[in-house]
Amino acid sequence: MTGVDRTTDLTDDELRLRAELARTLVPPPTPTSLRMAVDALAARHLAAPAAARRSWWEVLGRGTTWFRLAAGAVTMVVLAVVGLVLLQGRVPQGQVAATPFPTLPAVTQPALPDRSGAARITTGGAWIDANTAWVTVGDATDIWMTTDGGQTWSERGSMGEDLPPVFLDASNGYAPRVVGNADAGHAILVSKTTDGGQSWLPFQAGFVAAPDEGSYPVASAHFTDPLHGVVLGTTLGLGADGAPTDEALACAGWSTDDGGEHWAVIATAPCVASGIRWASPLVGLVADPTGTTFVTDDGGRTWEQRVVADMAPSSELWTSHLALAADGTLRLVAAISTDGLLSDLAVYAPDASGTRWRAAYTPRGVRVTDAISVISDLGGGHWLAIGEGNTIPGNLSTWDSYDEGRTWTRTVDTLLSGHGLAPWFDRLHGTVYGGWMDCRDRTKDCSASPMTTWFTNDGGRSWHEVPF
Amino acid sequence: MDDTRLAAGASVALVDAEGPGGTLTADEVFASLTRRQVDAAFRLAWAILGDPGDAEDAAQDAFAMAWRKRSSLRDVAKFEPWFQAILVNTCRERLRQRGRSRVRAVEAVPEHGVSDDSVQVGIRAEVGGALAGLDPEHRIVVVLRYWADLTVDEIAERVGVPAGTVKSRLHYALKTLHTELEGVR
Repeated sequence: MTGVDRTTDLTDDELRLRAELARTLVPPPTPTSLRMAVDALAARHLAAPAAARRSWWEVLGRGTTWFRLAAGAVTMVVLAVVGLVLLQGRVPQGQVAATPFPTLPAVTQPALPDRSGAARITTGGAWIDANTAWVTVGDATDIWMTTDGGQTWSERGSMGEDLPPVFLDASNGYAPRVVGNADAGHAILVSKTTDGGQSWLPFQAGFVAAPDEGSYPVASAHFTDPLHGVVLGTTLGLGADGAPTDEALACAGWSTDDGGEHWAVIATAPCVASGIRWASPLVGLVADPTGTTFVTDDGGRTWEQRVVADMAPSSELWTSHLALAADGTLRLVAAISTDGLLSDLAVYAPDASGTRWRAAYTPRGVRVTDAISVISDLGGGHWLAIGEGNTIPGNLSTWDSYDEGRTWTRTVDTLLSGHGLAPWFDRLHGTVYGGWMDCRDRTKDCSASPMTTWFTNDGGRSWHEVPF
Repeated sequence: MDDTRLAAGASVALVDAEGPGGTLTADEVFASLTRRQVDAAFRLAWAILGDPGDAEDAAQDAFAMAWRKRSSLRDVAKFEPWFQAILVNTCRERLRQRGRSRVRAVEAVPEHGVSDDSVQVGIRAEVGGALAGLDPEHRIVVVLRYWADLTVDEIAERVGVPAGTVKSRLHYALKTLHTELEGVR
């Protein structure tokens, strides 16, 4: 209430309503996080040059068609699909005015297929445009697709135990495959579909020889259109426990210009132990724990080395993500571990030579020990970080930033737990999906609980279970 | 604070400027104004939306929007209604996005010293529930009129509709809430 007596012109009924609202609507205390956010907004604007700025969202315009991303998948982890934006028009230099979370059409529940009683985990998906989307569900990687904006879904087949596919449109999709054995070596294949996933045809891109010791093959594929694509194959070593290590024993890459019929060797193909991070259909990054990265700006056909400068001998890149800043340059966002423990979240930008990454700024407000595993670039300087917490089992933790990772605010309000599957992101609707176990009841052992799919479309502030 | 027209990047002298000197840049003035509005913004957003998480989000979005649109603030003395219009619009969009007119019923607050607590709590829960049942446009005018104590003209300024429209919405909302008012008597 304002404290001003403005009751003189109210009727008796109105006075009674006013009195009841005064008793009923008693607000809770203002959250400290809101004060901090307002302070952060003010600090950023006061620190920036007093010049006209346009936000990422304003540059693109709400009606702009989004380009969907595709990321090669490896068998070790399920990669998050990183949203992308193609720059249109001029981009202002210098600091970027962050934008509020865009107001998009409501998605209170994601428009996903009805699979009552069946597997409830989505392993990947994307909205290609406002009408077309695909989702892969369950261990058998069942493929579902919609072409009417989510009103109806049709099952298009199953990949079996193959890697989840990526679709370019309602008809064309691809998925990497590896066949062979540790003795003979591994053939790197790509399976392609032209009928929306109902049938698949394998094409062999190349072959990776077997080393003397045990090995584990991984493959990544990326197509920018049905004809032009690349496949990268890497053979990883096995540790004493039989699990794959980050040590790459053999690496090779191939490109095609005719949809996979013919392939040419990529001379500069990097080793891909943990997948390719794509900031756009053409711009991608591969990183290894030592801080050596490779960057492509032509969809993976050529790669240039770029090293993280000044990494301490005992530090490693634990996770890495690629984002496109509003000024057109790239940002490498990495969780750093020191002596085996997570220690920092770092944001790097290319130096003038283009051969090194240098620290752009030190992010504030985020707790990196929450094992942040994925950074989703939601556009307009808005990043969402998702981690699994530092308890056993780890709690879901989410943090978001409106200024390209300079300042962060913790947003999660639910205690989903368990080792969640890396999330994927529906950029069209601003929705992030992830697979989690509900371990909120700490009195029960949830290790046998099923992993189900959860989503957020408010920057991680609330998570809801997908009603499969 | 004097009635000074404000343009982004300009300097303005304030009667009640913070700190020594008394001269602040426009952005510093604007920052000060936003900080002063944090509590009021959260409370108003909460009263409209009925959920603290939603209220915090709406307030945060409104402040971010305000910074983006600050060049449209022509008179710094009008900051409060100007900002509240942004906030109300943000809340309205959130209510619409919920896809439903009902928000969570506000939890009844027990009042000390009342002879029959259970009856009073029940009545307040009914009013809260009835308020939650209003559609966004009517809920907003009810909150602004009978909780925030704004006049019809002030509500019209914030909601962006004529005063006559505000009156008709209030009339409809009161009619809808009438049964709860009958129960209160």
